[in-house]
Amino acid sequence: MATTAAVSILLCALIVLMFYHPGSDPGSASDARETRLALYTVLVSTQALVLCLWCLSSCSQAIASERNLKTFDFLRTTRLSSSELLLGMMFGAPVTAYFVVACTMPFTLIIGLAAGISFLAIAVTYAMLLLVAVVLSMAALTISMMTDRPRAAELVFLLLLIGWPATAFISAMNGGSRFPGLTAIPVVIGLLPLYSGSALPNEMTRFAHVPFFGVQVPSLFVSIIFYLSVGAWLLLMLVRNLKKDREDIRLLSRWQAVVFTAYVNVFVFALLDLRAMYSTSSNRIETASAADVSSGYLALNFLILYAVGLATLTPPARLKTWLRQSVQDVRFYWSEDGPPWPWMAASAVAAFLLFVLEAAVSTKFIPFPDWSIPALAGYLFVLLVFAVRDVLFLQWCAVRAFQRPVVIGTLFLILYYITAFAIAAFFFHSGLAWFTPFGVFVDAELASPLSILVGAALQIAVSAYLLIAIRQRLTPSPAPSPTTAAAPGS
Amino acid sequence: MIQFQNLRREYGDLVAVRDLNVSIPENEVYGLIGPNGAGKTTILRLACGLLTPTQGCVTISGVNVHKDPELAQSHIGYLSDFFSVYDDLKVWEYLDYFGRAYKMPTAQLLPRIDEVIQQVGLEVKRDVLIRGLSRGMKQRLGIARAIIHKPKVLLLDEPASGLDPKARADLRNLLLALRAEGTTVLISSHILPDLEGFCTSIGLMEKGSMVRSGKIEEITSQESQHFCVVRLSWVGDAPVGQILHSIDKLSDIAIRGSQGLFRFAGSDDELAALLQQLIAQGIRVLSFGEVKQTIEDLYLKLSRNEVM
Repeated sequence: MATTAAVSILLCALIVLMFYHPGSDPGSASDARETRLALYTVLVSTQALVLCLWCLSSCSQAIASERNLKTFDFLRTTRLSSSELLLGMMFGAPVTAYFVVACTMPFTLIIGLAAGISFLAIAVTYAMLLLVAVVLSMAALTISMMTDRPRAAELVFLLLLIGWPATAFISAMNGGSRFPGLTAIPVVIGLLPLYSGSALPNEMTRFAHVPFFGVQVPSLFVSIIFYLSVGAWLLLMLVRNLKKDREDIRLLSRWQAVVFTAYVNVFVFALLDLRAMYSTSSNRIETASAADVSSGYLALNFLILYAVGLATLTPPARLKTWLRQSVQDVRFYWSEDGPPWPWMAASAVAAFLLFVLEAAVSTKFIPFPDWSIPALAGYLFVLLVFAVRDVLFLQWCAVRAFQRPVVIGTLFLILYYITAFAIAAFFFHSGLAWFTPFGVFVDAELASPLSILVGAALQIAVSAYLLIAIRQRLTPSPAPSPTTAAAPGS
Repeated sequence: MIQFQNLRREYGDLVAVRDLNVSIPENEVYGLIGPNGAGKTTILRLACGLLTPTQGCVTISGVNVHKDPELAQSHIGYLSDFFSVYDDLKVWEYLDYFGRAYKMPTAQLLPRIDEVIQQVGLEVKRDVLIRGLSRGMKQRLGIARAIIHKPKVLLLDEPASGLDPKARADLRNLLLALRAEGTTVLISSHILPDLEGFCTSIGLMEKGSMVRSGKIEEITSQESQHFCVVRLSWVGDAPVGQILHSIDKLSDIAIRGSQGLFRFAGSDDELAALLQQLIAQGIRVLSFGEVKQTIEDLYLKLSRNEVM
């Protein structure tokens, strides 16, 4: 620790020397302030980068490395609760990074105050840095809890972390996004207005305030809501599962998965900007269309249904135990250990009800009749049917005891969809609606309502077949009766 | 003290533990024996809450391990079959770390560390980095970690593996001392002589099922009702082999020089009658007696030697 402190302070001193070397000309007071501001920015950015990357890297290894060493079992059998273990790992694994930030913080504070930045701005900046670091740590710990080889997952997460807000930001800058609130994820834009001396670049000023449930709020407010809510979900997942064996891990309970569906729908709606806006791509003012918003909503919920289905896949042993119980009442189907489809259906219903509510409160921008709610309900049902079929297929793969059933099953599904698209493109256009859910998203010329219905009916039949196959696989074959077991002639 | 109620654990199609119903009273040293893959480790992992049962439950000191894991785990000390230790800690630091994880008060913890270090014979290594310890010493450190918080129940999975003969004897003495202090021990091992001498009860596992469970003497006497092994030595040149083979209730007869070993199926009275019969047939018996059954003998008798 002493070495770390010494190195951190030395680096800080070097950065300060870069700006204030003996031959430097102090210039005017305004120049000096600019220099201090630049120095402050460099120091804070470096601290943020070091802390975030360090948290991500060390926390993603924290559980996996303990598991590989076979020391994690000992921690799990102590009196430490999941929350205490989580707290220890979250701040213990990247403790050096926190220490480095703590060592360099006095420099930053002095230089920031000298540059005329308010103490409040500096304090909020560090508070946000801590919040982002904690959420990143929890995300990395979740990855570490789920896999023994977290590096690949960590890389994908990092790409998502950088790529998603960057895409949202670029899209919003071009005026083509209905989600300007996504620019709040990198936090920086929300913090800039706190630095009274530093004017926002023109193209960024419109993101200092972003719509949230249709009300213009500071971008920082959306950042805080986003990180707190995501952090709360990650906390729930970790506390539920941290002391469990990996085979027993289920990120969320089934009811929680339905609530998660509601959360994503509500949060996305909160960020949705339905006002008329100028599009730089088409050079005209564009109003929000019910059809576009509905399509986006359907696509989003299709993904959520898949996620809920994957999260509620039941381990075969538990499914077998569930099947052994006789059907008592409806709770049998709503069991935590039953098949996933009732919970996917519940998620779809929750998403639909929320959509109706959202449509009802958005009449200021889009009249309620424009939404064509019945059609949307039908389309959502079709998407649910396809998602259930695919998830039941994955469940069948798990029951068949394939090695890594979700990966193998997903590869089979990708192969299936490629084949279905090829058939639809070259031989049989209705195949798009018959065999894939994408008929919902294309024009009626490509997929008529009748063909979409035929497709849904086909998939219901396939799902029923898969359910029977799963049940047969899990039901032990009956022992031969004495009559059949007896040798002929005995 | 430890109760397994209708405990079952499945992995896909494999039933690792099949409807186990066993109750281990306080102050018992219960040896779990069986071939590799019989389900011993799974039982121990279920007992300390590392695994969730597919059905059934485990209670330790009346606490359901899966409903209230933290409370149950305060009563449990666990040592797994393969494990590592934190190489960059010193011996005492390692024990201090886990003592605090068990939420022991500092005032109790510090003297307890020295006590445990002494119990496992690592006094001279107290301030040494763990990376400098031999495998056997690390195993002893693992046992020290498992008992640092004075657990009422000790769950040990193959604790003698990697220990030299002296360390095994030390482990046996340590377990006897713990038992004398009132600790209940559930220990699994496939090195059966290791369990000899300190196990009070045994459970024989095969293919996830408990084939036989109970006090060693009870099982031995139950088995003796069916047959026992008798050693006979004699002097003179009587045709002992011929005589033994002509008696109905004897089997597996092995003669070497003037000594013989055979199985006898019958009651104690019948055994006494057999001795009279042998003498009557002219054998000058030097010694005649039932061979005491070891755990290994019992295991070989009861086991069908099946591996999952």
